[in-house]
Amino acid sequence: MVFNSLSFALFFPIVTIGYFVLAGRFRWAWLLAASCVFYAAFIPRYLFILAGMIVVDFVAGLAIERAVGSWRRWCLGVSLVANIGTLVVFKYFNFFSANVASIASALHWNYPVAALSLALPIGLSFHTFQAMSYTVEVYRGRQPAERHFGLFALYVMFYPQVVAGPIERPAHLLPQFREHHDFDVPRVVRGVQLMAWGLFKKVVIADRLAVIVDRVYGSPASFAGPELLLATILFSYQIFCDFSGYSDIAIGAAEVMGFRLATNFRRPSRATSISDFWNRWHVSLSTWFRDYVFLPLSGKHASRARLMANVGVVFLLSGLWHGANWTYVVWGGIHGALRITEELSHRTRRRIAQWVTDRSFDAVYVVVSRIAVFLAVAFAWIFFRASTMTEALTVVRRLTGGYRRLVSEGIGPTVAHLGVTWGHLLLIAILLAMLESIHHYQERYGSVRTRINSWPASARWSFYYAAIASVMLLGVFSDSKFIYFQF
Amino acid sequence: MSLPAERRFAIKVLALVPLLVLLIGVNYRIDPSHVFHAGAYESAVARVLLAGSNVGDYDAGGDRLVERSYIAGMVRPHQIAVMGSSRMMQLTSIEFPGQRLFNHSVFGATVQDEVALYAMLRRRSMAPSVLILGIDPWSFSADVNEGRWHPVWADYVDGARLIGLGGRHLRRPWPSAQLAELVSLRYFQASVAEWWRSPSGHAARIPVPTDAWEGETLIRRADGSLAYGAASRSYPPDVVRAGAIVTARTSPYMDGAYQPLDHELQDVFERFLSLLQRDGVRVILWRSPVHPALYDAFTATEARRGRVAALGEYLTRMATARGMSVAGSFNPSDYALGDADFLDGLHPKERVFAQIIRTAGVNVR
Repeated sequence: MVFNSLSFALFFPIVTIGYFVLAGRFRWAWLLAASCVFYAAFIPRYLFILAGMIVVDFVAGLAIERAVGSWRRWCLGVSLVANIGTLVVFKYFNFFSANVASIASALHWNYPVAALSLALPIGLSFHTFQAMSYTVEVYRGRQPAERHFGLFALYVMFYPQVVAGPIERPAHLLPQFREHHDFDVPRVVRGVQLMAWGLFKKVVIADRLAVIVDRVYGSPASFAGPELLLATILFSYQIFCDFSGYSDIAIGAAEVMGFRLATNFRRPSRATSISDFWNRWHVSLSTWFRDYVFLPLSGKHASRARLMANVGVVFLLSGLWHGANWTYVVWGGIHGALRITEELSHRTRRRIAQWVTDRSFDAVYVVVSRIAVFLAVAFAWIFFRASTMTEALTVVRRLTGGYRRLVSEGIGPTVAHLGVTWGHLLLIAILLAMLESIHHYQERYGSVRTRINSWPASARWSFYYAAIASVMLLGVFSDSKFIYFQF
Repeated sequence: MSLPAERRFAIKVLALVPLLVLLIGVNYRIDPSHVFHAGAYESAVARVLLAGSNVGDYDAGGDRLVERSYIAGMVRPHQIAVMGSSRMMQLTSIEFPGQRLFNHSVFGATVQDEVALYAMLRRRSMAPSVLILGIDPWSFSADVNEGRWHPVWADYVDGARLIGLGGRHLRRPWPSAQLAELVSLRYFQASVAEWWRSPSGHAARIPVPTDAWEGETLIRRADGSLAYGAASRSYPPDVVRAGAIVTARTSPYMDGAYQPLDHELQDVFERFLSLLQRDGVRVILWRSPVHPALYDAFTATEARRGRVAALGEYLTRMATARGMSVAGSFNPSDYALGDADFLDGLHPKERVFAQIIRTAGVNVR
């Protein structure tokens, strides 16, 4: 059941009303049942995989807490092997096997291992990471083992975020299931507003951009530099609106019921450095990698060289987390290389910044930094979006050619080749300008929702009507799934 | 007196009801595909076709109702009838000189459509001698969730009774296509676009008889086949390929094509074939090729290759057991087809049908 579907439009109010109508002691069961229905709506049998992981991690948590000495490590190991093993079997086995087969073939060795015919359970990488953070936190002694199986199951499969995050931490989410949430109208309104904004980003912006992006990336060899550049820039916005739209709907749906989920996006197009970008993009994943991979790898006294190597490892793993394809690994590798370069050039950049600030050009410096980061990130997205390395390299090779035709023939043939109208392009430009204006407002003045809620009722309702009408008229309703569902 | 917070919130939510009313009202009133207003337009189209003329600027929204009106007006049976989805619409009478052919294919056709159409023909004793039945890679998938056959539900029930189905097969589908379209935002956009294009109203449109074989817009020909508009016919091959790749990734049909065969749909289809055989109708099962990029998607993984192979084996087995013939192939490389042979990812051009007939030696005599 996707958030942008009629079935969710029926599911959400039913679950929410049921949640508030029921007595507090039944609410967890209601939410758990709703989460099962939500997850089973994709492919019912996947529930068994999820249930198996929940049982293993629940038992492991209790065992880790009770065990002493090396047994604790063994219990944690069982949990990690079960979680990572599930990921490997469903997500990575065929990828690794195919690579080994290629090497074996090149060396004329016999490699008789057949590919597994398994479909990837939806959202597997998200709930696996969330479950692992629980057992690791119990092992570290920061989190008491959960003794209520139902609440633990709900922690792993809470329906707003089971499929595509935000990836929660036990200390943040588990206690909230024991809280009593009243029907607080301002909070409910804020939640619904956030859901509406997320839906707008998905169906009006992301899916509209997808029309051009899918066409160009579907056959990159057929398109020249200007079209490829445009599609790549538009994909940067598409994936942001798609994924942050999902996160907003998830966070808003939880907020309506009184739950506070982790922030996942902080206007990444405003980032002025790669490290700033990763503080703004998919924050719940980047902090997960920081806390559970980077810091344990680095220890307290790591050398600079070791820290840089660990940055590289984390970004490569982050790429692999997204998908079993070399394109994702390269995407992670590019980000790692950019982050390391940034760290190594820290002093030089600081001197430049100081020089610019002394001459009162700091605003220009910020804008130039933003554009440079945006373009570097957009370049990396080429590898994320392309289906194969060959396709990605085709885009890179062709990206710089074909601009002369743009000068000699104008933009008309390019628009025709993209298969869209001028009106479509103009609408996209307006939508992106609006998006950036909202980000600018948020950076400078804070929450737009707070601002809207301070308006008089007539202005507020006029705005609601206009917003809903724009979704009805401008949305692309094509049963499209969210991009991050595949991970 | 102040109301409880919940009640005040409920009152606020009620303030959104006018938008829902607007949605339902616009969808019902404008009704671009004639879901709610089975129209005079469709009857008029059928009359033009029955008079032997082509219909210019054809609006296919109510194509099943055109078929119903057309069959109701037939005075003698055709020797060859074609039934299938839009992927069969480019099969023309030119390929069968000297034979009377009518192409009854409808957009988004399902097995239910074919049963319903045949029930209409049979009721009027207009069954053809030869029936060319189009099969799509997703024809036997329950996941396609195609509801466009609902307007001919009553005819399907007649057909279902003929082939010995009962129980829930005879129940009206729910939610019906009508109910779904009433609150569909996609239908709302189509309605607004229709209103923008023709403020006087779709229902008032009159079909334009024409002798043109092809034109700027859609032409429904007197033999039932469909000619796409000039723009669609002249897409450059690279644009067709790019579109095909998008289709492979996003079309709901693809989800169906990637699923195992649905036994219930197979049962309905086999019962239908048995009825045709009892009635003495010769059946040719026809597989129109898909664009190479789409076929690549069909066979991208071992599981998907297995599905395509299973469908191929099923059709061959059934045809052999029943003495029927199978023409065509989903695989475009079987006919050395490339980008230029397709209108888009799903629809082959007319010359592909000619090539299949020539290659396979399809005999309808």
